[in-house]
Amino acid sequence: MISTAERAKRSLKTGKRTFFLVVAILSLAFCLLGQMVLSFYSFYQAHRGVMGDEATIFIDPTLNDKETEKLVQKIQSLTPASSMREIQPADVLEKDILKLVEARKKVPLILALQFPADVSVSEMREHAADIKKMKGVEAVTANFEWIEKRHTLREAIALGIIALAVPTVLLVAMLIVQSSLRLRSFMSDEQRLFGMLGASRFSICAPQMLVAFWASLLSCLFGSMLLALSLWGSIPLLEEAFEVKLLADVQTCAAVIALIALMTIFATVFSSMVAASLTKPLKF
Amino acid sequence: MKALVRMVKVPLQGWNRDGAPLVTMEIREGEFVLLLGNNGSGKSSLLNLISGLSLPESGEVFIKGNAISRMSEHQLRQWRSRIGMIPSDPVILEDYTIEENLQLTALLLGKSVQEAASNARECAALCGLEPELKRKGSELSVGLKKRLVIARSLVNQPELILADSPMEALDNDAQEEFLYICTKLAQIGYPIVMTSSYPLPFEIRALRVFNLNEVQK
Repeated sequence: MISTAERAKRSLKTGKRTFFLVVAILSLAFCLLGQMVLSFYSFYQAHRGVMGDEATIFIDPTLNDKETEKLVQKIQSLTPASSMREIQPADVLEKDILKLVEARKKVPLILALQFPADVSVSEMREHAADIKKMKGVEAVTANFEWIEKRHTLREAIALGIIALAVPTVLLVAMLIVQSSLRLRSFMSDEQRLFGMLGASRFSICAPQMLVAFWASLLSCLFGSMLLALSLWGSIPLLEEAFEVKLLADVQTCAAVIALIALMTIFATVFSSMVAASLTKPLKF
Repeated sequence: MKALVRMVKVPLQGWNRDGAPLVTMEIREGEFVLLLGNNGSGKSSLLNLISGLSLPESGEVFIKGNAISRMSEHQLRQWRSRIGMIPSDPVILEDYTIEENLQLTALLLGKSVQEAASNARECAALCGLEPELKRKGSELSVGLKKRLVIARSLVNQPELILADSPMEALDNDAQEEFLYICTKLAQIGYPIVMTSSYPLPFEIRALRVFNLNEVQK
C-alpha cells in the first residue's frame, strides 16, 4: 500500500534537481542565519557581565556611624537596583586625598554608587542631583560626558544589530517561502488532482511537508558543516589578532545551532503546508 | 425519486453576467443525465457548480436540500469525496501503476487499506482493466487512461458521477465501450451527469437530455 513517504519519494523522482537546489539555497540561508545568531549571542554573552556606570559620593566625615548608616540607606532607597561599596583611602591618590581633607583634617567616607546597566544618563544625572541635596553628602562626582559617549556607542551597537538582524531574518524567511513554492512546483499536479477529488487537506499536504522536512534537515546538516568550516577558518585568526574572545564555548554554540536548526525545520515544514494547502484544485 | 442536486436560477457561463440565461434543473437519484451544449455553453461550469469546485454568485445549488453556498470548505471537500469525477482530460498519476492509482484514490478518500485494495480490483474489473493492473500510467494509451479515470471515479462508491465530455478523443469503438460502461453503471444505480457537445451516437434507454443550447435561446 502506498504510504505518505512513498508518495513523497515518487514525487522526488521527478523533482530531484529542484530538491537539491532547495537544499543548496536553504543550506546557505541556514549558514547565514547561524553566523548572525552566533555572533550576536556571543557578543551578548561577552557583555552581559559588564556593569553599569559609577558615581562617587563623598560623605561628611563629621557624621557618626549611625548617621552615616542612615544616610547610606536613604541613598540606596533612592536607587534601589544599584550597588554601593566603600572606596578605601588607600585606593585614592595621595594628592586627591589631601584635596579632599583640606581644612577638615579628616578623610571623608568615599562611596562608589554603581547604577544598573539599564539606567539612562539623564536618570543618572537626576539621581546624582537628588543625592547631592541630601544632608550629610558633601559632593557627588561622575564623568557624565564619558558615560554619555559610552551609552551612545552601546545604542549604536544595538541599532546596528537590529539593522543587520531584521534584513537577515527577512531574507531567510523569504528563501524558506520561495523554497516551499519550488517544492510545490513538482508536487502540484497531485495536489490539484486530489483537491478536486475531495481528499482531506492533510492528506494532500503531507507528502510536501515530508519532502520539506527532508530538505530542511539536509540543509541544516550541510549548513552546520559550512558554518563550522567558516567559523573554524576565521574566528581563531580574529581572536588572535584582536586578543578578544569572539565565540561562546563549543557546547553553547552547538545548542544555539540546534535551536536554529529546529526553528528552520519547523518554518520550512509549516511554510510548505501553507503552500500546499493554497494549491487550487483542478476544475472541470 | 429524491432530488440529489437541485439548481435554482443559476446563470450559465459567466456568473451573474447580465442577460445570461438562468438554469433551473434537478438531478434525481439513479438518473443518467446528458448536458448537451456547444463549446463554451457552460457545461463544465455547471459540473463545477454541482461539485462545489465553484460557487454560484447568484441563484443557488442545493445538495440533498443543503445550500452549497452555505457549506464550509470541509463540507465541500466531503461532498466532492462522494462524487466520482471524470474530467475531460484524463488526469492520472503517471508514475503510479493502474492499481496504485486506484488504491491511492480510495485511501485518500477515506477507505481502509483492505477496502481500498478490494475496491480497486473490483473497479478495475468493471472497466476491463484487470489485465493491465501493473502497468504504469505513463505507458497507457488515451483510451486506457480514460478507462482508468472511470474506474477511479468508482473506487469511493460515489453517490453521483460527473463526466465532462468523456467521449472526446475516443474512437468509435472506445466511445461505444465507454457508453456501455456508463449504462452498466446507471443500471447498477449510479446517477450520472455527463456533458457532450453532440448527441450521443448510440441510443441509451432512460437517458434524460438537458439541452443547454435551448436554454440559451
